[in-house]
Amino acid sequence: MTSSTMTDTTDFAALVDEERGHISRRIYADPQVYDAEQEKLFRRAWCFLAHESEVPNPGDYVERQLAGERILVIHGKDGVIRAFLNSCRHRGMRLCRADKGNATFLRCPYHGWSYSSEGELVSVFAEELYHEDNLDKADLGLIPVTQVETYKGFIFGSWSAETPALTEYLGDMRFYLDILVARTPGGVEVVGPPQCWEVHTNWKFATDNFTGDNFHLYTAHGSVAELGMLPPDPMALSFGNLIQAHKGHVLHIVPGPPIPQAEYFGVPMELRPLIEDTLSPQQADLAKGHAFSVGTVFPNLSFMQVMVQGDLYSAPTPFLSFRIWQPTGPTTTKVWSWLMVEKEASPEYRKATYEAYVRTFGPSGIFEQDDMENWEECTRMNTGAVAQRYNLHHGMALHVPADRDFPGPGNAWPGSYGERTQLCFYGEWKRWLTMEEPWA
Amino acid sequence: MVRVAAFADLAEARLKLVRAGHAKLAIVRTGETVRAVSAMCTHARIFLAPGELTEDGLIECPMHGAKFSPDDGSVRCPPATTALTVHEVRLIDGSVFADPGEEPVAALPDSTKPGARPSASQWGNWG
Repeated sequence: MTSSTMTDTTDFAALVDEERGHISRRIYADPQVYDAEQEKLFRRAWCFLAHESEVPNPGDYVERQLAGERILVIHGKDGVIRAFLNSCRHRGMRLCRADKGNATFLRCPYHGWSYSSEGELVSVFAEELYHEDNLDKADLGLIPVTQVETYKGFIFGSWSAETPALTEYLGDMRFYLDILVARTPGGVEVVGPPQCWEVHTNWKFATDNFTGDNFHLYTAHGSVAELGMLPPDPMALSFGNLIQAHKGHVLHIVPGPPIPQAEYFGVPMELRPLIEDTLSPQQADLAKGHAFSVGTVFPNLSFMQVMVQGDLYSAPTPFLSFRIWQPTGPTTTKVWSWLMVEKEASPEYRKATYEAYVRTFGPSGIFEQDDMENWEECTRMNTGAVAQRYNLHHGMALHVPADRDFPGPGNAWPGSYGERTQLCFYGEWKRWLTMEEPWA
Repeated sequence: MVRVAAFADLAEARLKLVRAGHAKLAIVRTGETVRAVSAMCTHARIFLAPGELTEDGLIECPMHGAKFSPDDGSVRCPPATTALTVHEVRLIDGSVFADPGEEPVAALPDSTKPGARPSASQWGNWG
């Protein structure tokens, strides 16, 4: 572990004051913060790698990144999904150079060392020229991701053996995740491969926004609002609750207009009986009562279950997207965004939800572009030495008491306009950067 | 009527925000006259900013630039389309009194109250 102070002796703990809602701008730009995040956060925490529906058949693989290193998630011929560093044991070459595919064996492009779909080294070029004492193939398999676990189809990995099991790590966030991804018997599946793009922002601006920020809608997306594609009253989306489900896992859950179409997050009527049958009564009531939910599984897996108008003339249509914000440097982020849909969804609904998502989010979406412009300019401004003398302000609705009667686990604060969930995220971020066992 | 300010504290042609009971008002002194309008922009529901009026004597919303007359609350520049509400003012012994007006009959729900739900009127054609 590196020390928990920076070269000017500032303690990382001093960068976040969640009691007062003050956040240092240095956390969005300082290379030392980036290095510490890679070591203490991204090489320890459970990070989302892939969804099972991306690798349904033996031999299916996708290339992903974990703490900035390329990995393969591969469905073995034995039926087990594993994750390995995408690096040959011979010279370290990037073994597999496609984003996705299906392979019986993985052959290194450099000298041809070949591996099975279970990660074993099975063949070495000119093998007869090695003395058997100098080639222990059993010890030269692909380097596995230290821990790999799956929750409801979501495959996570961690480079740390100390990090507790995934179910413990997720804690009560599972209650809310189930409402989104396990509300029908089949659960959800991806619609095609993820959209990937690079943004010149620090990853935490994206995460900050996706801890549940409804109060940027009428300014950042002002043109969309002016065109009438947001409700006319800028307080219409201020209802619902901000929720700290477990530690840094947070979300908001927001009701829509008081019409049946906006219940159950707006999903088609034919799916609603499945939701009632699949979820617990408590979860089903929350699903029925809400139209929007945005949140983040700490540290960087965010989701949005929202209803949007794809254009001026179409009815609000729901979509569910999961995305990860992968830091590629102190001020650069690679975004991976998946559209997901219930396995039971009709072809018509798949098309409608795909269209609603593509028009509004993803790199060309009318909302996503507004967000990226703001996150990029926030990042640029916060690199300034003078700017960094002044903290940022996260103080909205901190006086609102928690609703002890909220029908779900964790802490819930009424009203979705507020900065509670951001502060829960930053507080957890601070614990991972400064504590040996942040999960304890 | 609620006392909201001392007349001597009001500068000419400057907007001052005051609280009158449940209402937040924007008051403007012009010569010996004081007028009061509701302090929240009818467009994006941000509070109007205290300070100087525009060169043509109007109240300009700091968020989107809507302009209102301080005399009758009328809209003089979009994007607002609804006038500010005028509140009656009286000057008594150097004090400014203003009428807070009725508590809004169909008060919008308060989203920070547990279990509060938005009303259909907030959603326009979404609802």
